[in-house]
Amino acid sequence: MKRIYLFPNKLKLPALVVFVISLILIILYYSDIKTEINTTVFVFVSDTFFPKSNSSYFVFDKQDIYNEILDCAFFVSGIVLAFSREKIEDEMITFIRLKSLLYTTYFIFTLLILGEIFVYGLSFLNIIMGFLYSFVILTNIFYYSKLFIYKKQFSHENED
Amino acid sequence: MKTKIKVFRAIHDMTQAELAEKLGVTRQTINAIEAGKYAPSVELALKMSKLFGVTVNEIFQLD
Repeated sequence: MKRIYLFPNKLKLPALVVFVISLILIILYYSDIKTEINTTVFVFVSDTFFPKSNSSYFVFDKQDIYNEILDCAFFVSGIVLAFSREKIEDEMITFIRLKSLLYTTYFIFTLLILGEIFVYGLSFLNIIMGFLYSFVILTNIFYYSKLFIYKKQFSHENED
Repeated sequence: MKTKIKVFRAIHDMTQAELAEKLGVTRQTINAIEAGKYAPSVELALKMSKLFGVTVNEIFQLD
């Protein structure tokens, strides 16, 4: 039988540590408690809203990459945390994981549609970024809470 | 779906944990299947039938 690819179980703990740290730093970043890492990087697109003529494409440019590092750490660790194997990985756990992903998709896209209708202008871009963070957070929350409930519910019922 | 896993476990003098270990699943999954809360995959049902030496139909029946 073909199996779906999941990350190894040993990555779970390091991913959790990175995820929590990056989440805290992202919250601080949006609370204006941040640092800057200015360095020259290769950019595909670098533009400003005003004036538009300052846009540059496929060039080396000096940029603050602090936020980019935080986002990469957050998304990678969040994905690894949600999609890494349990110690005993079976079809029921796979089913719970896929169900969590489904519920998160329904939830986030319902909010996205509401955002499309009710939010206009640049705020919509912030909201989309918020949805991306929320998607990773909610997938993990749904998955681990469902897993916890499942383990609790069927640990004592019909005990031998 | 009705299941007779409990009966076959008793016949083979097997605990949920032992059955789970033999099938490579968690004990909670066996418990959920016995309680009728989860329908196993064809692969798992076939593994069970092989382990108990009976057909899948003898273990699982539709309501």
